[in-house]
Amino acid sequence: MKKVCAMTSSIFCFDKPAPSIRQLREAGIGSVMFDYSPFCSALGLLRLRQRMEEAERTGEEKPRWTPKRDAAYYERVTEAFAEQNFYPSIARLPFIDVRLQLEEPEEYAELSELTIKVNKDCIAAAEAFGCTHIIVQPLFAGIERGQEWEVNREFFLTLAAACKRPETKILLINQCVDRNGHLIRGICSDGREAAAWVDALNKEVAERYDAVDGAAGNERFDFCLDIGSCNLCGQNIQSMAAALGSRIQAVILTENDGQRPAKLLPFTNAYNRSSTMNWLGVIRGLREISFDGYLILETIDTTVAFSPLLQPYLYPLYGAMLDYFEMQIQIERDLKKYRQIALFGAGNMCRNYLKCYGDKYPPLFTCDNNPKLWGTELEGLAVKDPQELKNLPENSGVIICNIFYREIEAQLREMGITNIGYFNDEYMPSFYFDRLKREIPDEEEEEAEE
Amino acid sequence: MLRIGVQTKNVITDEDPEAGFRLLKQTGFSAVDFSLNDYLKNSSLYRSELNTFFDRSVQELEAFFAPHKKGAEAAGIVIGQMHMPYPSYVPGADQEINDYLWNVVAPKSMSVCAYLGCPYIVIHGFKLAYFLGSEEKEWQETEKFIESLAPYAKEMGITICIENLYEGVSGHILEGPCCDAVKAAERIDRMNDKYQAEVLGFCFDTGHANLVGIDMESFLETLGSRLKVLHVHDNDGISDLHQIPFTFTKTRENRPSTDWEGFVRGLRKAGYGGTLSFETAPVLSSFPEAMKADALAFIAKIGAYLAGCI
Repeated sequence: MKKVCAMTSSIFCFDKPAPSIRQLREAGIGSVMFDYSPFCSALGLLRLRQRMEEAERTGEEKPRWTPKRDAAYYERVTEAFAEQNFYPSIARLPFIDVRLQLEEPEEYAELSELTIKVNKDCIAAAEAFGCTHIIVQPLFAGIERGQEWEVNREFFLTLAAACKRPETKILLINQCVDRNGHLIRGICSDGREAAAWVDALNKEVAERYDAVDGAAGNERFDFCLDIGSCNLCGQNIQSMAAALGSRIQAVILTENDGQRPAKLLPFTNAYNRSSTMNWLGVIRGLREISFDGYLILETIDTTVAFSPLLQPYLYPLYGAMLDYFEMQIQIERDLKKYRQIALFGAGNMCRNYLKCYGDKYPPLFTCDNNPKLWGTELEGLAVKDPQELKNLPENSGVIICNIFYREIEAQLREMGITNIGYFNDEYMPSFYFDRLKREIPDEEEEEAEE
Repeated sequence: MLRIGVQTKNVITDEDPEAGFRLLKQTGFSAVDFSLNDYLKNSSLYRSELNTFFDRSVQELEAFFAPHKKGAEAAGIVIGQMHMPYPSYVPGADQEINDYLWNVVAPKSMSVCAYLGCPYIVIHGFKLAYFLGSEEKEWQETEKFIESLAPYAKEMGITICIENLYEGVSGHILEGPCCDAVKAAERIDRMNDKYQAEVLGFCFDTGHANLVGIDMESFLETLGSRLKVLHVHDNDGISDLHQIPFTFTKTRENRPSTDWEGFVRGLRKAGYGGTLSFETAPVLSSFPEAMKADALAFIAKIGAYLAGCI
């Protein structure tokens, strides 16, 4: 899994990029998603063009465009990345706020035209910079209902043609639509439809390649799942992920209150001692599709809300957050790693392990520091003295099933055990439910009844 | 012309049901959504509290509701749809309670529905995804429940309607059972094919759809003729308020934040010809008692307006 922070979510100083990059590295953050929004904007160009036309009409002096962030500026930023060998491999092209309302209907066509130009330039720049995955917002502004696919089909095929490198992937992304201030499900927010778009685009690209030069077409398009947009629309993210499957090559990990499109650190929009996001659905969904792409932490609103004096302390937390989600999504990774496993802990977490994973990854035994439990059984599993772990067969692992991870890990290391894995039951594939367990037959039994 | 309906809750009393039906007729309604759920409230069920209402035999229940039936007929009001008490399964409750809901309350509700001549009964799908791990497994349990009622439905000529619901995560409302129109359509068709009758249909709830950002137009278009009844009401996109349509805005332009235009287009595309039934009982407890008739008349006028648009 590639764990990255959105560049604009960090305290990235574009005027002095080198120290920012150094800080990220020191915090253990492996890379960033390079964001082109700070460098160019189709909407900004539209406004400039309008001001120039206005000046032409009125005879006033034409406004002069003297952008602070010009091409040379962009080069200085990218050079700083190169100097520190900190190359981003994923980029996001400039986005337009889904709440945008333009005054004149014809402005929308002009904006789309500029968006295509800006995106083509940015793709060239991103490829030159070494990015292999490029997130592109679908065209939405001013598009009539029912025309979304046709307009975007042309748009994305145009961008595909602009790609020079065969390995470049264009990632479509789900987004909301604004209905009089209420954000509801918009373009690519239906998982099935989004999957169909990706497949149709890939098919067309493949056909065009074949037709032009007989070369096999590549899978040019994939998908970036924006968890924040899903949450604004109250979506079942687990179902959304299932519908898109392996097309999901990047996930924007962020949180909001379900009403406003803020970009907060996960678990911070809490109420009643719990986050208001359905992280269970997110994790279940990403586990189901064995997600192993880009995990992108986007937290600009949390970051900037903190005092600059405190912001540097957030970086290590961001790194830990990415590690945590990786652990949760790949919870079976440690279980698969060892030929045989023993558990450490004989409480509820162990019981949950046995219920959800016991059949697939049966442990030899579990152990516990409480001597009263030694010689007993938990759900049919022997509970032993931790000293027994020293007698485990070679290539065995010990999976900690207790919230005192650090203490137990230290204890195991002191015993000379290094094959250590972690289990966590915060986000289980199902939850223990005695009565249901009795009532609901296994799938095999159900089939047998038929 | 589409009928205009409203919940019986907060209007029809057991003491003098005919007076309530007369009031509804006078204020512009021609149909009701019979609130059978008012006799066994969900708030009690979530506390694992049952009452004895459904301990009555079917004959006793029919006798109990005879004045209601008579009152509706006398006032010229059609009992167009009914809401079964919900939930029909309480996660974590005693087996005894769930057995009672499943084996007593549900079949007796069907009998009451048939007695009142009501063609549609709305149920709530089970909310079990958290425990079972997925929406598909959750649906399997709901389907078992529907299957237990489907033979009655076929025999009685009733269509059971599943409704788009929501779930709460620390106060934030998210998509719940039956919020996927494509899946719902497939499941309805499969069930009806199996029973060779329209035993299953859909109840579209505008308020619930608004809470979870559903694109109403495309949802309704996908449902098509499987759409049988409606729960029309409005909210702020945050809480399930069951208020009067066109009430809520979110911008300074003060345009409605619920997509009523999409709703109208969706009904048109679905070819809907049933009742525009308002699930707005909380409006009647919010307005002063002296304004009840005015509030009802206003709701009915909105219904007539929407019917005209469709």
